[in-house]
Amino acid sequence: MSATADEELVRSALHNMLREGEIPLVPLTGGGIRIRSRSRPWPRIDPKLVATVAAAIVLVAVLFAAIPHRGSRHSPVAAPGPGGRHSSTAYSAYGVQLSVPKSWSVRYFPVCPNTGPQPVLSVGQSDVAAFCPTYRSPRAVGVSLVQGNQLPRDTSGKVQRSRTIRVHGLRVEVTTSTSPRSPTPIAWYVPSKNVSITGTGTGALQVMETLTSARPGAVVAPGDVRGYQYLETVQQLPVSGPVAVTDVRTGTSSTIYAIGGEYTFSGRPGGYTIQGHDGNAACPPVTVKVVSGETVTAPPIMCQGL
Amino acid sequence: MRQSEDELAFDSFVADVGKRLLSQAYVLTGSKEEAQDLTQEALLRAWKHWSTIGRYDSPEGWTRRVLHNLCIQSWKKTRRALTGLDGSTTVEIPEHHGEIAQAMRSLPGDQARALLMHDGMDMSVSEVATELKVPVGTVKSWLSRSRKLVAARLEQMDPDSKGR
Repeated sequence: MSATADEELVRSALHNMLREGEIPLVPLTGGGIRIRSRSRPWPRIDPKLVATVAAAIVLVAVLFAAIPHRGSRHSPVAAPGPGGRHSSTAYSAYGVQLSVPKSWSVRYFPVCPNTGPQPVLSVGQSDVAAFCPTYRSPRAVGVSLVQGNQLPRDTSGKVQRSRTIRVHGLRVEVTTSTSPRSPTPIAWYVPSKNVSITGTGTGALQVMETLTSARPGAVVAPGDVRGYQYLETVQQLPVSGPVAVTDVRTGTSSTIYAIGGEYTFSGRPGGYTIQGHDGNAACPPVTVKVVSGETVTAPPIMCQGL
Repeated sequence: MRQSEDELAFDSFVADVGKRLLSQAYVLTGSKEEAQDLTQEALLRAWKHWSTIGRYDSPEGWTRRVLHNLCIQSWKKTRRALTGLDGSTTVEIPEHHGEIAQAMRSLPGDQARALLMHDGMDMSVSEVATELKVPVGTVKSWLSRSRKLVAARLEQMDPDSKGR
């Protein structure tokens, strides 16, 4: 069958099914959904999920006990904070680092920028960031560090009212007021590292002013990996099941699960070996390099079924 | 009692997108009951976070992503439940669109979503790429691979479909 005929067949089958699927078994209304939300006091808990989480906690505890602790060499660096005191921790990603007070929390690849009053350093962007609101909450406090140039642009695509400053030797393009009282977010772009830093709320500017090139000892942002596992027979079939992930540097292994052939995990930057399983089929391991602050796709695991 | 602004906005959101979401869940699960359950679950989550997602540029995009993930998660459970003691898969979907649902299940989650959004919902390749956060080229290759697979399975199950 030709590609066009395939497309026609699939399109027509999907359209037919979508049309039929539009007819609800019981009416679907906003009021009904709200009533259901009030009548469900506890979230549904899958007992298998509870068992999996418990097993994961035990595994982490065992691994933690097994890994030799090397004193302060690998602990986060207590960096001088905005006030010069050692009350901050330095976090690095994309070749730069920022020091945030210990009262701040850190989120990697958050779904959306922080809108609450609890201060947050956000590093990287999630897959669904495109759906985030374009407005900013006036009470939000936080700093975001992301790759690329996110400076506000006018309709023709040009960056608005940009000026240049230097922060600890790095050239920084600034588009809005850097007044700590400004309710509007402060947007910076560091051309030499291709990173954008935006800040909003009290204390954000002080954190941004700790910007330097990344130094050893800062807490390095993890990276995300997405991959697929297939069984090669007459066709390629996605394989669900356990996948062993081994950190090449430390030799530490953990098991994750592929669902519908797809798996994801986050890890410290560096090399990882990924070994799939599918009954008696041989699944040659693949390797992937996790990059700090980025999502990488691993080569597919191809289990040989023939 | 007067409805709040959020309640009114959510009601109109459900009226607008409810059927669309329901039909997508039906394609991904092959069961009307499960589609109804999962759509309600996705909408419940949307209502729970409505104060935030109600202000998004596309609350439908957020809810659709939640729904698709719920459907894809449900595949694993259904597969396990319907696998025979001898390990043979005996998935029998009690609907006349079982073939396409089975074919969709044979794809990795993202590929099934891409095929549904592009061929089913007529979204453009670039819209699909933006929603799935992958390059346009990846979407094109997923579409071509998954279409071939789904078409082959449809043909296998119903040889009369050839040339339709």
